[in-house]
This record gives sequence, C-alpha cells and structure tokens, in this order.
Amino acid sequence: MTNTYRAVSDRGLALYGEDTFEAEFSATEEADALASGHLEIVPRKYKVLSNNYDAGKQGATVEAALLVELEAALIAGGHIERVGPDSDSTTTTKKKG
Amino acid sequence: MAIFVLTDAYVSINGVTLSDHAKSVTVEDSRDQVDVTAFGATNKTYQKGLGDGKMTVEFFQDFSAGKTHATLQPLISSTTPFTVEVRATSAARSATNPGIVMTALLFNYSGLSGNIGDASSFSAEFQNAAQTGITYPTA
Repeated sequence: MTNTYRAVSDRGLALYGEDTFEAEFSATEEADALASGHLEIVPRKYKVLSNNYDAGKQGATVEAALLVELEAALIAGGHIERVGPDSDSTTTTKKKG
Repeated sequence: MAIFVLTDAYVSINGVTLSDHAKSVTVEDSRDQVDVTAFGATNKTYQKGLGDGKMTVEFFQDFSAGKTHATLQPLISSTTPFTVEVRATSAARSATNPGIVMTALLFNYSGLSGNIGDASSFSAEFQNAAQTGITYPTA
C-alpha cells in the first residue's frame, strides 16, 4: 500500500522533487528515508472502526502519519480505514527509490 | 498512590487499548551486569552495561475484529517498532500513575494455548527496539 511523503531536506528534494508524492516503500526503505531526515510522512485521515483505538472514538475521523507497516497492522486489525482520496491535487505518484 | 492492588491496569499496544483482555503484565527494565574485576582484586566489581527492556502481557484470546488476535497477529510479522504502554491504572498519566512506555517489537505471540476447560489465554512478549529503552512519562 502506498503512503504519502514530503521531501524535507535538500537531498530529499533532489531525490523526490518538491511536491508531496505517493510511493510504495518497503518498511526498511521508509525507515531509512525517515531516519535520514529526507522525507516525512504526510498525515492522512482515517475513520476509526474499533472502540479501543486510542487516537479517536469509534466512528470518528482522525488524522495521523502512520508508518506503512503500522498502518497495515491497524487496518488488518479492523481498527481504522482510510477515508477520502488517497492523494490530493498536488500529489504526484513516484516509483519507489 | 499508596500500596495498591492491581485491578485496573492499562495496556496499550500500537495505540490500541487491550486492557479489558489482559490479566497480567510484567515489565523488565534491566542493565547488563558487567564484571570488571581485574588482577589483584579481592572482591568482584561490576559496572552497568547496556540497558534492555521487555514487557510481557498475558491476554485472554479474542479473535473478533479489533481485539487481541486482530491487533497482535499483524505485529508479529512486522519489522517496524511500535509503542507499548502500560500503567498501574487506566487513569491518565500522572506522577502517581506514570506511563511505562517502550518502543518495541513483538517477538513471541502464542496465539492459542490452554487446557480443556481453561479460558483461552496466551502471552505476548514485547522487546525493546529503540535507544530510549523504557521510559516513565508522567504527562
């Protein structure tokens, strides 16, 4: 599943451009990019499906910047689902790397 | 908080509250004991080495959406550290009810165990996965 990222360093800008973009990184690729300070995750909206997710009440819409594997775990667990469009008008889709 | 009986502990795994399915919790915040005894010494001397953290939670199993299995099973195959927090009570963090927080990975998930007639319970072991180790925030 893709996530939305924003370049936040000169190196990141050179690698990925200034726009926010969608990419399907592996957990390791994502962790490396975030830890090196080149990218940040753009928060997205989620609907809370379960009654025990700390970020919001059941039925509420919350905004969060979730790492790809943790988002997958929460979606698989029935806690959240993505809402709204996957990307906004300024978002471009890039291949990973 | 005076001496207390543990009846309302708070357990949160990856942002999901599972307190109502947990029945025991064990926090181990440890430091390696490094022997630095040199020739000529008459007594052993130790220094503290690397820290480590581990939390073990015993849960009642529940395969419903959003409950124990649905929350924990995806994490056993995940390589991304997540937050585990336990507290003495379900009340908000405070000086007398500190959070015990660790960025962790799930290394052991015994999804089904028990004998005939038993409640289906299992244990999950969370091991430290960050340089912060176990922290005790009060706010």
